[in-house]
Amino acid sequence: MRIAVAAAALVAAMLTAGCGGDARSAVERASTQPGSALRGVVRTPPLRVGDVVLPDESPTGRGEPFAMRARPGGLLLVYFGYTACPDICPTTLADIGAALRGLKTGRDRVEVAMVTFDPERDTGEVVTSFLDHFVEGGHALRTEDSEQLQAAESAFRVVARRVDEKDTYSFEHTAITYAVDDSGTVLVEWPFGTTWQDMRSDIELLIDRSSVSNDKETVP
Amino acid sequence: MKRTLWPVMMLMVVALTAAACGGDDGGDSANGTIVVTNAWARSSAAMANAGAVYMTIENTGGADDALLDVAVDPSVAASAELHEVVMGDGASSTTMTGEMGDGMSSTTMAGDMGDGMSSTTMAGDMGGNTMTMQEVDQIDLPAGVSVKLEPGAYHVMLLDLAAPLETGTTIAVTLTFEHAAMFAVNAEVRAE
Repeated sequence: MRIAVAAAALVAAMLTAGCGGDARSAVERASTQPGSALRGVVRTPPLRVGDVVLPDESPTGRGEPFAMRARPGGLLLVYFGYTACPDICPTTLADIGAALRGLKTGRDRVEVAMVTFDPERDTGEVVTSFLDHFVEGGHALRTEDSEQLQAAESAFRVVARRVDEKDTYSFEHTAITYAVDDSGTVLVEWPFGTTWQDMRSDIELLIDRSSVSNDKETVP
Repeated sequence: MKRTLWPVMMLMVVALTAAACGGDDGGDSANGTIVVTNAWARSSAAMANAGAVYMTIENTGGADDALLDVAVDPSVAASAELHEVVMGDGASSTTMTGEMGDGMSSTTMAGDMGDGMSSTTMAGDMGGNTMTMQEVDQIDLPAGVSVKLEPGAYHVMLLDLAAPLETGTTIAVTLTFEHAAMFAVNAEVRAE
C-alpha cells in the first residue's frame, strides 16, 4: 500500500518534470541576461535610410507618408516581404512579434514597418492584416510606383526578383530585418534565421543606449 | 515480493511519462516504418492566402523511402506542394536559382546560416544574399534518418487557403510515399 502511494507520487513528479522542462523557456531564461554586444550583423559603414519615404496604407499611418526613421529615442524595425510568402516572411514576422512581446521595457518605443514588394497582390488592407497578425499597429508600406519601390529597396540593399511559376509567382528576395534609429541609420541587421531571443537582446541593448544618449542630450 | 514490484512500477512511470508528453508535440503519427512527429502549421493572417506545414519525418525502416506528394482537403487550401527554401545570389537568373537548390539539404543550410550571423561586423554588401523557395519533386527519406520540414528549409506550402489557419485547430495533411502506404497526419496550428 505504501509502495503504491509512493509510486503514485513518483509518477506525478515525473510527469510534471518531464513535461514542464520546456526547452524554449530554458533558452528564454538564458537570454534574459543581455549580452554586451549586438548579436545581429553590424554593417560598416551603416546604411542610412532616413530619406526613404513610402505611402503608409495602415490605419496606424493615418494616410501620412512614412519616413524610415524611428520616433525620437526609439527604434524602427523594417522588413521587406510579401504576403503570399508561406515560410520566410511569416517566420520572420513571428520572430519579431515574439521578440517584442517579451520586452521588459520600451515596447512603446519600438515600431515595426513592412514594405511589400508585391503591390499587385498585396493591397494596403492585406499587408495591414498580415502585419497585424504578428505585430499589432505596424506600418504597412506599399507603393505602386515601381521606381519609388526600387529606390527604397536599393537604400536598404534589398533585392527582390519576381519568379514566375505555372499559374502564380513568388519572389527571390533578401530576407533581413533592419533596426533603424531616429536619425534613419540602420544600427543592426538580422538575417533570416536570427532567433527572437537574439533580436530581443539587441532591441534591449539599443533601447538602453538610446536612453543613455537621450539623457546626455538633455543635460547641459 | 515488494522488491519485484519496482521494475514494473518504473516501467509504468516511463510509459505514463511518454504518453503524457507525447501529446504536447501534436501531430504524431506512424505508419509502419515512417514516423511523423511535431507536425504543425503557423496560424495565418485573416487575409493571407498562403500557409506552411512543418513536421519531422523519420524513416525507422531498413530501406530508403521518399515523400512524393502532399495533399490537403479543399476546405483547407486549394492545393499543397512540397517546397524548399534555397539561397540565391540576388543577381542570379531563374535557371541558376533552380540549380542552386540541388544538393543543399535543409539541415546544412540552416546550420550554415546560423553560424554566419552572430556578432559579425560586415563591410561587404549583404544585399546579394537572397532567399527563394522552389517546389521539389520529392524529399528523400534515407533509412534510419530523420528529415525535418522546418522554417527556412523544407515545408509543405498551402496555396490559396480556404480559410485562415486558426491557432488551436488541426489540419489533416495526407502524405504519399514511394514505398510506405499513404497516411494522414494532423498538424496542429500554432501561433509561434
